Amino acid sequence: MEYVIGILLLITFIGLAVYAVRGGNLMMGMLIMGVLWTALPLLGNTFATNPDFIAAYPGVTDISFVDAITNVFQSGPEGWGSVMVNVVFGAWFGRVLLQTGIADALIRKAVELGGDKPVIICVLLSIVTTAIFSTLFGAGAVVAIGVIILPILMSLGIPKNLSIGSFMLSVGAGMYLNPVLTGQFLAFFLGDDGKQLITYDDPARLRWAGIGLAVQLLLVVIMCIVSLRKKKTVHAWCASAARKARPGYVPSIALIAPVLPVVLLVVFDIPIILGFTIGSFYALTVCGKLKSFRGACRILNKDFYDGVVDTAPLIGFLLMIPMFNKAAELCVPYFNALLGNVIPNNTLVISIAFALLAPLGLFRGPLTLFGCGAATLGILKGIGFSTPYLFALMVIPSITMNVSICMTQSWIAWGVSYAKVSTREHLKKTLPYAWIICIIMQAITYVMFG
Amino acid sequence: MGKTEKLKELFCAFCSGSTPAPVKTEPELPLKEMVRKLESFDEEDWGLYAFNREPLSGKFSAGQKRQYIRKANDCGKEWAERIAEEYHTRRPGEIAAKMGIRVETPAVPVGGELVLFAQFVQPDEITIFTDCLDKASSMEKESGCQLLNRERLFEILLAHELFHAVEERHEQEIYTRTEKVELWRKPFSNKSSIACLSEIAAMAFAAQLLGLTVSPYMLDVLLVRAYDRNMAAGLFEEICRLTEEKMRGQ
Repeated sequence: MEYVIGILLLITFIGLAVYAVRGGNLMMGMLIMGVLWTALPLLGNTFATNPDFIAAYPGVTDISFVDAITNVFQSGPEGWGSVMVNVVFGAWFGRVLLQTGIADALIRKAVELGGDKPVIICVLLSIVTTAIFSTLFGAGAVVAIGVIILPILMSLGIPKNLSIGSFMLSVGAGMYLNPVLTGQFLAFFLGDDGKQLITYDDPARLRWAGIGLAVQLLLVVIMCIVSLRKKKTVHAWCASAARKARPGYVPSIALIAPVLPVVLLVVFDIPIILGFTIGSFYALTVCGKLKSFRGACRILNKDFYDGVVDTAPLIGFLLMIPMFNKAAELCVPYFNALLGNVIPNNTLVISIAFALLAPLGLFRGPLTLFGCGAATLGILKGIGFSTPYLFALMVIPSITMNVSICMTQSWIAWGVSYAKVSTREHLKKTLPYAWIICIIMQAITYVMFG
Repeated sequence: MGKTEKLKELFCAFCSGSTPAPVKTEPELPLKEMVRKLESFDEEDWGLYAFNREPLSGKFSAGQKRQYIRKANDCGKEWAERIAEEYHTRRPGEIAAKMGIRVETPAVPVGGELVLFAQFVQPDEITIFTDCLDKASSMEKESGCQLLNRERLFEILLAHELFHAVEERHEQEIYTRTEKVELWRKPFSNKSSIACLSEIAAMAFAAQLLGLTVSPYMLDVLLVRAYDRNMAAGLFEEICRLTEEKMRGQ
């Protein structure tokens, strides 16, 4: 019986992969999978007769129907409340950086430093973008920064596919350290009591994230240098949306605001929400936006509203993921019965496999936690790898393949359509570098946690 | 609605991406009125519009910008005469052929927040995107704007891109490449050219070569209008705002 259920689960897993690759709505996909992966193991539990199999998974194979549906559909989304709150505060902080003109000023300072040298500009803007997105999160923020940076890159004759590729990979580089995105990954690693098995400020994890950021940024720089070496620049006559009047004077001391929450968290252990709040009020104060109490209330309201709107589409999806995660836990005995002897339990083999198969993190495939990877993680958890190793193993393709270059990521789809670059051109430019990043990072992960 | 359509609709509802956000619409400005206003802007107004998109814009005072704009326009006009004299023709197509430049005409670009009209790729390729020609020429009658005549529009776009090819071949002597601004403080040095001067000069080059009495820069607004009226209205407001600021002496 366990094999039959295992095969049925595998079929639904492949079905989700096909559905995701074809661009299906993932919020609905996760909900349907949550239902199927709850129903199938419950059915299997009812008819399982093998006493060894039942005894091997206490609390899973003998779980009651009510407990199972409560775990999946109630406790699951509730458990992600903390992630959601971080996302909202991060989005608010992002809006503050945009409204005060700090993000715009940072970009302009970088451009004024580089002038008309495409390589220098490309490298400087990649560094600034990475710094900004080490804290900022959300499609709204990426689009808002993108409409400033991309026309600058293109006006300097930098080819469109390189402009988009370097910008999006730089956003992804920052995401290695981004507390909001990391919070979403960490929520996949909760103990039975609901406590996090690994935390943002875990020194080894933080060191690994810093290395991830540096490796990805370095590869972006190499990509810029290699691509612009031939100096086949493009002068395009194009029109982009109207330029708004600048938000006002931005003093130099305001430019540290984007990294303030992360610095406060890493150096002073100040919780990230307080970090976002301090960072926001610091930015508003030094930019002279808090001149009266009434004005401050208005700005606070507006920026919070805009930030929440930015995150609204993401929140729906994020609330369905925990249902899928919790349901995946019910499936572990069946996956183990079917694949337990097939999947190696050697970290070196797993690391090599993840490095070579990294592109499976594209199109919501089995190596990204924002797709079928949630189920892959469930299977690997059952084998018994350490949490830091599993975290790093899964996060690499999730960030470098999915968040940084995949067309199913909302902001990548926007960027590619904004610059009128075909999916093929975009992937041709970025995939080789993203793959190299994954290989390097999997090797580092093996050395650090394997 | 038949059963198949119903099922198809249900399938689409489950498969499609997120619900598109409602589009904010701006009040429509009559096209003729817009064209009249755009024609009234002079070279300096359009130069300020170009500087508004210049990444190094913050480094210059209003006076410096005016000076740069004048010199860039002079440069474009001067090179139009030199090229016409050198190749004994004012027709951009013939000049391109004599310069050994390939001219491609794919339809490609569609709408979005960035509308592409034409491009020059080093060292010898110009692409004119005919999609925007087709769309814009359909507005010719309604607008009464001569620039939107399909053949005329093709020539303007080609002439503009030809200037970039001329720049490449004469980079040691042409103003838009020799004019540099120092970006770093002493003892360090990083001299940079000013990207928008090249665009200003390319517009002046096209206007002079083809004997236009209005700036081809107005096509930024008109061609975009063929794709996105709200975006065109935004660009129109931008140039109007910049002109008003200039009048107020800001």
